[in-house]
Amino acid sequence: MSSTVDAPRLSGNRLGDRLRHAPPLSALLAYGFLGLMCVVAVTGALLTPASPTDQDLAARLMPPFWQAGGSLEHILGTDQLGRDLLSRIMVGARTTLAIGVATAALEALIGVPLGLTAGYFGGRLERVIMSLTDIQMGFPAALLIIFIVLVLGPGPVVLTVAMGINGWMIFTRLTRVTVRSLKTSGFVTASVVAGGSHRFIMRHHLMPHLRGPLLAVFLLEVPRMILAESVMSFIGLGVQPPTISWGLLIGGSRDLIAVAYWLSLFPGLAIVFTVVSLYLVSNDLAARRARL
Amino acid sequence: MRSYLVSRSLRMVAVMVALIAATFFLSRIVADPVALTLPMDASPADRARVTHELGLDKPLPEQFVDYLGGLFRGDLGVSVWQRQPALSIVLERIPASIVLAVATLAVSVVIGLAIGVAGALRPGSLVDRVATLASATSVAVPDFWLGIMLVTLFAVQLGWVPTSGYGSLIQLILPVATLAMRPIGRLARVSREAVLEEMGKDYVTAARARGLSVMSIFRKHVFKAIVAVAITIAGYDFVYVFTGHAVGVETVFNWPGLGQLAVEATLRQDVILVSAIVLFSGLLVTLVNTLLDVVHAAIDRRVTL
Repeated sequence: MSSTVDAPRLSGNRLGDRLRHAPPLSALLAYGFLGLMCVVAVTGALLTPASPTDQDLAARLMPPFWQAGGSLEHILGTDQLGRDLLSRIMVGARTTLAIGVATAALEALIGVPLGLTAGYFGGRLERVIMSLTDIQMGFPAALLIIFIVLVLGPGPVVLTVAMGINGWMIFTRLTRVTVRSLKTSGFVTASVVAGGSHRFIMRHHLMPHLRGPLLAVFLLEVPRMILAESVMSFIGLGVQPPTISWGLLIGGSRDLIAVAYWLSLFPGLAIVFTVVSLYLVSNDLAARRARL
Repeated sequence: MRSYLVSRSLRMVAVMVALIAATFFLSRIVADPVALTLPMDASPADRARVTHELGLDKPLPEQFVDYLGGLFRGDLGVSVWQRQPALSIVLERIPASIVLAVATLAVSVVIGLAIGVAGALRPGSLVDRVATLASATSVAVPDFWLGIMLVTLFAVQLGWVPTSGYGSLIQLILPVATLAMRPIGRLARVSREAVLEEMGKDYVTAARARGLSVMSIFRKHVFKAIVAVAITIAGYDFVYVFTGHAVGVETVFNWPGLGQLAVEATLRQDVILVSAIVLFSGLLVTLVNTLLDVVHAAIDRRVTL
């Protein structure tokens, strides 16, 4: 996801207009933080201050630099094998963000066509699809995800698939409701009269209106999936070492909380900041849409 | 109301059947129960014998009927890891999950309602703003991580409570505090909205015009309206613990509930035990959800329309 946003189309280019519609400070910070995370996720180990994997047994369990025994060489300290925590968090950003985005995308990929079909065609097809949605909503999602991981073996791809096929329902519901209300509007009727095919109407008349609401839900699903991934990796059923994810970093330092609080504090803060930023950005986009 | 009851019950049955079909599919077709039961170097003769014993040489529809029959007799298979009936292993873990769920429910209802009502009675006050901010943040904090932070602070640094374990009241404090965070946030938000909505209605204005104090109106009318809403919401949070969502927190606190059992069984590749957990809690949760929906519909007639 990019950190740039469509400027409100109806407002002019005058500076005053721009300032009046500028997002609040919290949203600006959120855009900034997410932008930074995207850069970190894309560059991987290129920008890290130290190697995320090189061990240095002489520098084991060093605290963050502001504490006695810490050094600026390892700003956030080191783990039990002397690996630099900040570098590991930076490298973990890629896994965590990729799984969050990929899972939300998979959910949309399953959910949106189902909702589009249900809302557009209606009738028996709609009833079948919505019953399926209801049934899936009734499933114990967390346990089923664990079950699927057991049967297929842990790893990022299995985790993404397991979470995605258990979480697409919100996209179906949203798409269906939106399409149903659009279907009766004049421009759709006009297009039908003009001989527009179902595909044409869906692509050119329905999808443009769906984009905004879908993006908002997408931006809320990404953090939800980031949280889900972090739990799964924490309990050992998600991403497996040597791949690094934030949840896995917390899981790997569980036995060390008495001696090295920083090993779980900072990866956790990375999760919290990312999730909060995504919520703020989603809110800000919704507020902009409401103004238009 | 009656047509709602019928359609809701039908949906419950549909969810249950789909759940049974899903576990059957995952445990019998995607996974290979024979390979998981036998050691790696088992002979083909052994494989054939176990396949026959487990009934896996029969046609699939017949296997499914056997599977259903087993469920009705309460037979969820034998755990490969513990060599005991899976159902009895699951039942052993139920008390710990119930304790966690009930304590979390009680704490979150009391605190959540208190915060929500306090905020709504003085909208825009410092209490209200702090509560709103906190309930928004509570959604963004991974619960297992919060648990670790609480352990670091209150168990490791201050030594007020034990780090983990199950059995005594004092060991309950941290896991419940951790798990109650989100329900408290949600309840505070919902009850705040409910109170504000109710206080804005005409009958409240009329009562105030007649000279009744805000507190007495609140006690006599508004409170009833929000408790009903809060109870149903809290009910869904209660269910939460049984759908495995407490798995991270149970792991942090070494709490012997269903979630922890699911993780242990998964790490030991015990397909039968995990499918028993999924089925047991899935069916239980489906039942409870249905009851909650019916209660909700009875309280709020708009639902049935």
